[in-house]
Amino acid sequence: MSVARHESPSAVEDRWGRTSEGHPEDGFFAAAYRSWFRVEWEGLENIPEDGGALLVSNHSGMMPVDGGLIQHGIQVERGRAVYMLAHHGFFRIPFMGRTLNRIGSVVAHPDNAHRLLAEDGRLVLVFPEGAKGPVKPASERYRLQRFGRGGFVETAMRAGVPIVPIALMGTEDSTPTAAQLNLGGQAMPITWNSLLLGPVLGAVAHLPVKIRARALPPIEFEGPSDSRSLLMDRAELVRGRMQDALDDLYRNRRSLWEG
Amino acid sequence: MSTPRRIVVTDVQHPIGRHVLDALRDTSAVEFVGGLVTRAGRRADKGPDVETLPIAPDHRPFAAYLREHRIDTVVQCGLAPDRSGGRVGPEDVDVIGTMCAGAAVGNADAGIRSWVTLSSSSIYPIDSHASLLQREEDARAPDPEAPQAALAEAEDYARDVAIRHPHINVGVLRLQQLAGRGLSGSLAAVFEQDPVPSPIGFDPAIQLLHADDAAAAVTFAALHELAGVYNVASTGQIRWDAAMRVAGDRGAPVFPVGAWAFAPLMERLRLPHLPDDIVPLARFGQAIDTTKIERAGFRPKHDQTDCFDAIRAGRARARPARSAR
Repeated sequence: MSVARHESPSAVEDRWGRTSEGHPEDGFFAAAYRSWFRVEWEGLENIPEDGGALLVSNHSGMMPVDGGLIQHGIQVERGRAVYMLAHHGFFRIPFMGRTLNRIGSVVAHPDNAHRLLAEDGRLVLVFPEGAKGPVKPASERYRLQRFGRGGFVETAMRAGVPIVPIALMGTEDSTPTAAQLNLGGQAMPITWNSLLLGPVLGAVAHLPVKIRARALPPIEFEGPSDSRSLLMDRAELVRGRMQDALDDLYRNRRSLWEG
Repeated sequence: MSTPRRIVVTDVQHPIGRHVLDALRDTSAVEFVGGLVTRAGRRADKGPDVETLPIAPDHRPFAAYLREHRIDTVVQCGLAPDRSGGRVGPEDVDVIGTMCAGAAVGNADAGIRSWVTLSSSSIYPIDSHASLLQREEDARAPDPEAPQAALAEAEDYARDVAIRHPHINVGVLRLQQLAGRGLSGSLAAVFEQDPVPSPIGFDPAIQLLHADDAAAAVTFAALHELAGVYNVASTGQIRWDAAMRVAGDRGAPVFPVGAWAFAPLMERLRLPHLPDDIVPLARFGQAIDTTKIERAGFRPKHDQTDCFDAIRAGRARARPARSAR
C-alpha cells in the first residue's frame, strides 16, 4: 500500500510557529498603522540591518497594540521580522496562544529569547515593565514603571547582542485610564474607551491618537555577568534613556491628533 | 573505540531493548553483545546470547555475569517506562533495577568502563511557561507522587555511581517519546487513532524519537563512552496540526480542557480522544534540545516528518490485518 507524502510543515511556518515573515494580519495592522494611528518613526537607522538585537519598549493600553505596531512597523519600514516575548498566561487560553505564535509571539522564557537572538539572529521585542505598564494609574502617564529584575539585560549580555530602546508616544492616550480598580490585590484600569463604548468594544477600540516611535542608539554591554547589582545598574541605564526620550517626545507634542 | 567492546544490553523484553541489541549486533566494533531478559516469565525473541537473568532485587548474579563474560559496557534499557502502550505510573519506572545495575557496575571486580542507562523526556515539566526546547538542566524536582520523581531518583542514583566510580563513564540518555518500527509511546498512540484527535484552540510544538534513531543514539553512547545526561530526539519539532496532516487521514476536533472526564468512555467507544496524560502535551507541547548529544557527534537520521510518516505507515499496515480478522 502506498503512503501519501505530505509537504514538509517547515515550508509554511518556522520552529516558533510563525506562519510567515510578514505579519499575518497585514490587512488589519496596515490599516491601523497607517490610517488610524498614523505611526511616524525616528531613528530607524538604529535598528540593525542584520543579526540579533533586543528591542525594549514602553508598554501600555488595556488591550495593548504597541507590540503589533512595532512588529508591523519594523517589518514594513526596515524589512525585518520582529519576534515578541509574551506572558505565558496568554498561551493557556484556547486560540490565543496559537494566534500569538502565528503572528510572531513567543513565550517569554530566557532560553527562547536566547535562541531567537543568538542562534536565529532575530530581532526580539520585550516590554520589561510587563503587566505593570498597562495597569498603571493615569497619574503615572508616560512614567516608566520598574523594569523587573533586569532579566532583559542578562538575556542580551548572554546572547552578545545590543539593546535598542524604543520610546512610543501616543499609545497611552489611545486608551486613557479613567480610574483604577483593585480586584483582590490586582490593579485593573477602567479606560474612557470602556466607559464610553462598553466593556467589550471599549477593550478593543482605540482612540485615533497619532503615535510617534523613536528608536534610540543601540546599547552594547559586555557580558555575561553574574552580578545582580550590575544587571540592575544597566537596566536602570536603559530605563533612564527611554524615560528621557519619552519626556522629550511629550514636551514636543503639539496635540493628540497631530502628535 | 580501538579495543573491541564486550557489551550487555539489559531488559531486552522491552521493544527498545530489543532494537538496541539488534543495532549493537550489527556493529563491527563490538566483539560480544549479550542480551538479558530481566523479568522472569517475560517472553522475548531469544536469539544468540540472550538469557533470562533478573538483575533485582539481588545484584550479585548480574555482577557474576559481567565478570564471566568480561563485559566492559552495560546498556540498561529498563529505567525508562515501557512506553509501548498504556499509562505510565511510578511503578513503571524501574528504580530498584537501576540501583541493582549500578551496584553490579560499581563492583570493583566487574571491570566496567561504561554504563548507559535510558531515561525519558517525561522528566521535564509540560506547561505554558516551559521554553520551546528543554535543555538537560531544565528538569525540575517534581511532585514526589509523579512518575517523574521515580525517574529523577534513578537518575540521581546513576549520577552518584559516576561520582563514586570516576573510572566508569555513566551516560544517561533521556529519550523523547518513541515511534516507528512497532514502538509507540503515548503520543504516537494518539496519532494512531483514526481520525486523529485535534485539540481545539491549541497547536503546540511536539516531537518524537524514531526507533532507529533511539537505537543508533544508544549504540553511539555505548561505543563513545558518553558521560553525563543527554537528550535524544529525532531532528526538529513539528506543530500538532502539521503532524496530523502527515500521520492521519483526517482529524477530529477534541476540546482538551476537561477531556479527562470523557476519555474513558470515548476510549471504550473507540472514538478519538485525548488520554488525560496527553492533555497537557496537547495544550502546551514539549520538545527537547538535542544540541549536547549533537556536539558529542551524534546526528539523528530521521526528522519529525519521518516519525509521523512511520505512524501513518504502521496504521496502513495494520488496517488490512484488522479487516482480514
